[in-house]
Amino acid sequence: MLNKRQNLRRTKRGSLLIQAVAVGSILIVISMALIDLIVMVLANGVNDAAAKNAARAAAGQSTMDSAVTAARNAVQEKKPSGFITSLILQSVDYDPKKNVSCKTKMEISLPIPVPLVGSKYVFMAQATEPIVAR
Amino acid sequence: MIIFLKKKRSRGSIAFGAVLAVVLVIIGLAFFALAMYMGGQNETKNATDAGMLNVGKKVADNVSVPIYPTPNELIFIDVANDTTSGEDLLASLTGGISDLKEINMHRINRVWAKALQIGINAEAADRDGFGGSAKSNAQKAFEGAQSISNRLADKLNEKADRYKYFDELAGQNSVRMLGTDAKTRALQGDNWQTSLLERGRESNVTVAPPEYSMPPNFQMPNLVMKSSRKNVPAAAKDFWFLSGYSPIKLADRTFWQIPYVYDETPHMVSGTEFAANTLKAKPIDWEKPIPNAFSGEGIAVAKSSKAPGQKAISWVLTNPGQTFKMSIPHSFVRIKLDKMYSHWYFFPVGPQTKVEYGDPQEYKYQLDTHNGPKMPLGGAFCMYVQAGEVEVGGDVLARNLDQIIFGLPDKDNEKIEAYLVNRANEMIGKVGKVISVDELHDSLSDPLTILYLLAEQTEFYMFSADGETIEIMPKYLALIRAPWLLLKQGEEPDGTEMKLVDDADCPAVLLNKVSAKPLPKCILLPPTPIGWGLWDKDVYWTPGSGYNSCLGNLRVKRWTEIYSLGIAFPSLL
Repeated sequence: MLNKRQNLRRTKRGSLLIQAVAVGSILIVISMALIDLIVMVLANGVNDAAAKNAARAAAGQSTMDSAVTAARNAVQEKKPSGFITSLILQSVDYDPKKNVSCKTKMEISLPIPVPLVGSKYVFMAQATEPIVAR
Repeated sequence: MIIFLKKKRSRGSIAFGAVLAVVLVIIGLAFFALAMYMGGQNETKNATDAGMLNVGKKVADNVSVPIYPTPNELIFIDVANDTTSGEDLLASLTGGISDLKEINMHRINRVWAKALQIGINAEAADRDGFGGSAKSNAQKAFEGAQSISNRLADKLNEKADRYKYFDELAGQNSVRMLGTDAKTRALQGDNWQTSLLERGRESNVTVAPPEYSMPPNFQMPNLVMKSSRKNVPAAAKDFWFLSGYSPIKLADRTFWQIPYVYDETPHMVSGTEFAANTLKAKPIDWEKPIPNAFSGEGIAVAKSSKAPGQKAISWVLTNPGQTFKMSIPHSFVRIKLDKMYSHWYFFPVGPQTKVEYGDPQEYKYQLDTHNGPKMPLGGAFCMYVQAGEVEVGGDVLARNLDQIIFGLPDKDNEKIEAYLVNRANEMIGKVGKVISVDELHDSLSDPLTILYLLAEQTEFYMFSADGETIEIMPKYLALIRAPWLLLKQGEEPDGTEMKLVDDADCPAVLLNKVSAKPLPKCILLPPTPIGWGLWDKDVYWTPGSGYNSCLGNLRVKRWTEIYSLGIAFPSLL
């Protein structure tokens, strides 16, 4: 009789543990996904701002060469740090007297790697500005 | 009872775990939605900024109004372009008819500045008492500038162009956080306003230093200012600018400029600053001011979404980034040389009273032998005095134009220099370029002018073909060098003539072969008969306002006075 009661208690304790582990692991997964999401959203914002700054800097230049240099300098101001592993100016499309478009590419390393995807993630951003230099 | 409670507790922990998971998922989704919303807002703002920056650029470059083919407006053809020389051959040959879409925000200050320059010239001539019809011409120029300016202001206040310029660029910027097919376009309405920023700061028109830009004896205090930038670029340290949105009062007219800070480009400004400087918030006396700042609203919507979309407002200050100089590029000064004559003088009653006798004889820019007249009773107790042969032309032989104007006899040369240097600088359109007195003399001293004079060319035009240097050429060569002169060559100054140099003279280098015959019973008093001469010069200036392109006529009158003195006295022998 006592053994039966003891077995029942053990079984209940085990199921509680299983429940706690199951719920806990779901919560952990959700939390990790949230952390990755926050990092991705922040990184995307940084990349957009970098493209915008590059285009703004290039728009103030009157030649293709100086526009590329200015855009590159503007992007380099955003030095890779934390989860951002690289940020490069991928292209500058300079149409003299009209517009300039700058495309930036950012690679990030997610804090929690996603199964089958890994931790690397790439963002692209493009901004177009009118050339205001004479 | 205990078993029942324990079962409940275990179900509760599962429920709590499930609820917590759902809450976390909801928080995650909410965070994602919020991030997308804020990111979308940011993207919309960036796209709107880009669109408005394009508006700021394009309104300055592309919004223009034609010059109407009326006399008052056609005078601005030479400033309806971006060159320093005002050179537009086709336009100048067709009186501007071929080129009727040229006044934009770059050039409107240039138009006002030219009208101001004409006004200054007219006012200066009027104060000197030689204004003639210059003041009424200055009024016409003012009306021409005002009418062009008003049309441009009306055009700039039309919103259709601005919507178009906005859409051209705003749509090219991604607003992907609002949807892959989302685009930003102009949200037409009352948020598209204009404003008058940077009041009192410099315009894009420079002025030569007052000693060069103002006619002699004329001053306009507070007309010009230095660049208002904190760190003035080295190139602009010596520049003087007209002031924007500040009334420039001259006579009973008010001239205006739009401020465009030196070496700046269109850029975004704050909404507070914009709102504080609208015409309504801070009026100015200008009836139809030309705005230099524009606001606009953009909306980003996804085609696939029924959501209202994100909105953003931006404010841009425009600046053409191009600097001009107050000038009248298609203008000229005519230099006319009168025919030169020798005049013969005798002293019938003694050396105190001279009498001109005989016809004056013309001479050219070479040595010429004139036969002087024989004046009966041309000397005291003389039967006659004869001037004899005299070589004239020594005052102009092998002289260049500078020497003809300023050379012996020299008197009041600084007055001539002042007028010519001022007018030369009014022709120059290159920013920062000043024609000095020395440069004026250099141009007039061109050795070719000696040949022109020998070829009996006596009408010269001083003009600038390139907006940087002045040239002085006889009429027909000038017409080739500056074709716009074809239509202007016959124009005369609108002022009246004043005398700058009044009868300047100096001893002439002459060899007189004077002879005299005393009356009977009289003998000549040595050393008579003797002869001598004087080189004489008058210089006249007729001011022109520049309304018809003529900035003035300089007329030089030279002549030679030849004196023959014979004195005899009765002889007791």
